[in-house]
Amino acid sequence: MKLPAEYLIPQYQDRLYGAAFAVLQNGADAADAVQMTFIKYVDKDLEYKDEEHIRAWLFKTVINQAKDIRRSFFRSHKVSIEAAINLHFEQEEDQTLFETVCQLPEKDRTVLQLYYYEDYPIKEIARILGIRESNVKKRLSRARSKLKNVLQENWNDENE
Amino acid sequence: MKTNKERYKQAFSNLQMPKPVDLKEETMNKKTKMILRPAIAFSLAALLLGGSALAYATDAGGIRTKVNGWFGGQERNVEAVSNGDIGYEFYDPETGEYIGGGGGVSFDAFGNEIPMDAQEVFDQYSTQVEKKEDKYFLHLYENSYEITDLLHPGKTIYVQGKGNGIIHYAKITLDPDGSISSSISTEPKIEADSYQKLQ
Repeated sequence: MKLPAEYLIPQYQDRLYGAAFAVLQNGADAADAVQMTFIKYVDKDLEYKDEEHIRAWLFKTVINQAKDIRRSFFRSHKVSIEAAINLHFEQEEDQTLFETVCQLPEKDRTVLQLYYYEDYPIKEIARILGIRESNVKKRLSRARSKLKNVLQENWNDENE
Repeated sequence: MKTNKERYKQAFSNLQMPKPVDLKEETMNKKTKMILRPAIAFSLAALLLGGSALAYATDAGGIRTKVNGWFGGQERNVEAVSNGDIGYEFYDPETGEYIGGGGGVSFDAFGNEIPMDAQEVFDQYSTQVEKKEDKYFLHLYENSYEITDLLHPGKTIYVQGKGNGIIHYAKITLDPDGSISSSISTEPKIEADSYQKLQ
């Protein structure tokens, strides 16, 4: 099956943007990665098992596109994350969590986004990123440890 | 008490596309480029078969129109012959040599398709990526930039160069199968500083 882009775009564009942003930390770059992902979806003549299969393909592709963008250009200056994407947080703890995540290595950020925001299980994250499940667990564990260190009582202990 | 997932989702819920995905502009650009590609492939195949395989304007028939523009970094006057559909074939008016062909449509404000005329189709050749004898070139009107060393299979590059007095921004991907996909515009798709300047 292949679902029309007109259906998929409103369903997934913001979530794909979140995944691309986890890699790139730049709004315009992330938007470009999402745009290119949907272009590829439309252009490629692929068949999918179901919508979940399409979703996984979209996330895999947007992350790869984001990595391509990151590799291919030179950043002449850095701006703060908030200035770069013009975000507003209603609660300070949300901003603290956001900024803490943004300071983590890109590999950890991507896993966090797929696990906590997209509710993907570890097995599926491993498939999307093309890495072993043990690596996913390692990155999750490392990221959680750093989050706990910074956020203290605003981040619960977890076992997995 | 909130779970970590709830906290995370709340903190990241503000992340939204700055503007919605718009496939029309990209699709329109690609539609014209895609229709051009088979013609270019055909002309290359014709050259490989040898001179006798080249089609001549005198044999092609159809209504001929004179157009001019940039092709492969050179300014050319050519004759355009309608292919009876929405496309044209272009020939050198002096030698009759087949140069290339293509067709395309543009869209009006209501989304109706309007076939491009011969000049509009030939204008698409003024900016293009060309592979020539194992080298890759980005042609921007009168300027041709060799980009062979910048390209690697599976990698996308962002470059900028001048053509016709205007800066053009190009996004070029060399697919693993050796095919090239490109998008060339006078507007940058990402930060302008991020495009490597070609000399």
